Amino acid sequence: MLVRIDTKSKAPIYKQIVTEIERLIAEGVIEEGTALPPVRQLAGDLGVNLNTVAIAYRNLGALGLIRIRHGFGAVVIKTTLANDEFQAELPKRIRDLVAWAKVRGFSFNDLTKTFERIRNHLYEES
Amino acid sequence: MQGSNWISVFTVLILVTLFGILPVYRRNESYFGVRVSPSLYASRDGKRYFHRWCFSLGLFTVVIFAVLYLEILGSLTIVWFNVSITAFIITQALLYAHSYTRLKEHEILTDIESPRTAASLEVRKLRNFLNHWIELTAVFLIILPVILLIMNYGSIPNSLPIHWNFRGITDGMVDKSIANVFSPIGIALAIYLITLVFSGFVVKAKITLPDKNTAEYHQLKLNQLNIFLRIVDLVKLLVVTEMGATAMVPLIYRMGQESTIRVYMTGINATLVIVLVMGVSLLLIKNSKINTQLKTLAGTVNIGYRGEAKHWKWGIFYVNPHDPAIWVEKRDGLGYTVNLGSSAGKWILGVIIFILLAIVLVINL
Repeated sequence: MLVRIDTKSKAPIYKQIVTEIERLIAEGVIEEGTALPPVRQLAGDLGVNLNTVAIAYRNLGALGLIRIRHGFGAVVIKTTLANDEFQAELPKRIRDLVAWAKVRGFSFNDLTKTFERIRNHLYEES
Repeated sequence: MQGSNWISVFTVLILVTLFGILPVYRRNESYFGVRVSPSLYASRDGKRYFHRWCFSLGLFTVVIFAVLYLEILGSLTIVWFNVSITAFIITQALLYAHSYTRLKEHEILTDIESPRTAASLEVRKLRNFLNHWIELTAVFLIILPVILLIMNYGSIPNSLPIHWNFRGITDGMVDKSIANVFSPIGIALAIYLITLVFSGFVVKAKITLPDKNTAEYHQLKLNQLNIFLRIVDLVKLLVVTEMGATAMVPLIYRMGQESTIRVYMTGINATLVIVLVMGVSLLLIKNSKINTQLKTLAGTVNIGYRGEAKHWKWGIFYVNPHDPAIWVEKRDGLGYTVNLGSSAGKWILGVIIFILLAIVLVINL
């Protein structure tokens, strides 16, 4: 249950935290009902502002993945969301990713191999 | 109120740990609160501070116990014990200040400016770190004397012995009253609750993880936290036992039969001192073994210190207003301290000083 952040990256830390928690949920490491650590614990361990972690939690809450109850902390309530509102986003994200890889010289083969490896890792149960 | 003179022995043991072992426990990683290179630490120049420190420590331990022994024989008054303890603290503090200032010039500052890149999502709650059998034993040891005292309240003599010297001879008596009969239990309960609150704080202390071997390092840090909490448990159980035993003295006390009390108090206290020293030593050895493993994994016992060296004042106080953590692991590698850069940290330190002063006042009144 480790989250990693890159302080040198241009992506905002709160987004990195959201992405990391989503990854752990997708990997099945975090299950429904798992309690997330208090904001202060995570902020202290990562050495980031309390607000950064609070914003990350609020984002996850707005998505509907976690429920934040004041004084009780944050709990994961869902591990899959309804995908209706993300229909348009999926092709755009994949296009960006494939473009990124192509410009950097990755072959079609490299791309599909990596894709399959990650797909098998994340979708192994289904 | 005065306790048994055995409290003096416990005081000496605690002071020797605080003013004797901790400044040199982490070797070159925190040598009198300064991180120095292993070569300087091993050199003749570097070892000089260690030798001076140990010489003074050894000398004062001998002097203090000699003073206590002379007190048993009746040749010296208790004042001399206090004088020798004060002299010990002042000497060690001066030696520490001297070593710190000299070594500070050779301090190795940061080689990783922002080391914190990973964290565990496991919730650190006191409940997950407590040993239920230890807690039950502690509660049992508090309740048992209460039941025995209530059941036999009528047979308790009208004047109670509350202080014994080393020869086991009673030299302090008070009148029988509910407050006087139950006050040791009250102290035991208070200390039990204080240790619980303290444990609740330290499990929330921040854990800084390295980039590589992150999961293994995290597990070892949790093991070390467990070892520290077991040391707290040990102290907690011993204090509760000591206070419970003291509370039950009126039950076995009969006028003129002081030899019984002598055997009882000496037996219990000597056992407690032996258990404390052996238990803490064993746990410290375990802790050192983990330190070695941590060094292999990450090159240092605590990855956090590297980026934070400049926030440690005198190697003892951590002052970092930009750190959201309130509790942090101590630089000397054993125990935890507050971040004095946060307002919560200042409050906690204030309350701790207040409690310590209150205890000192109550004991001396």
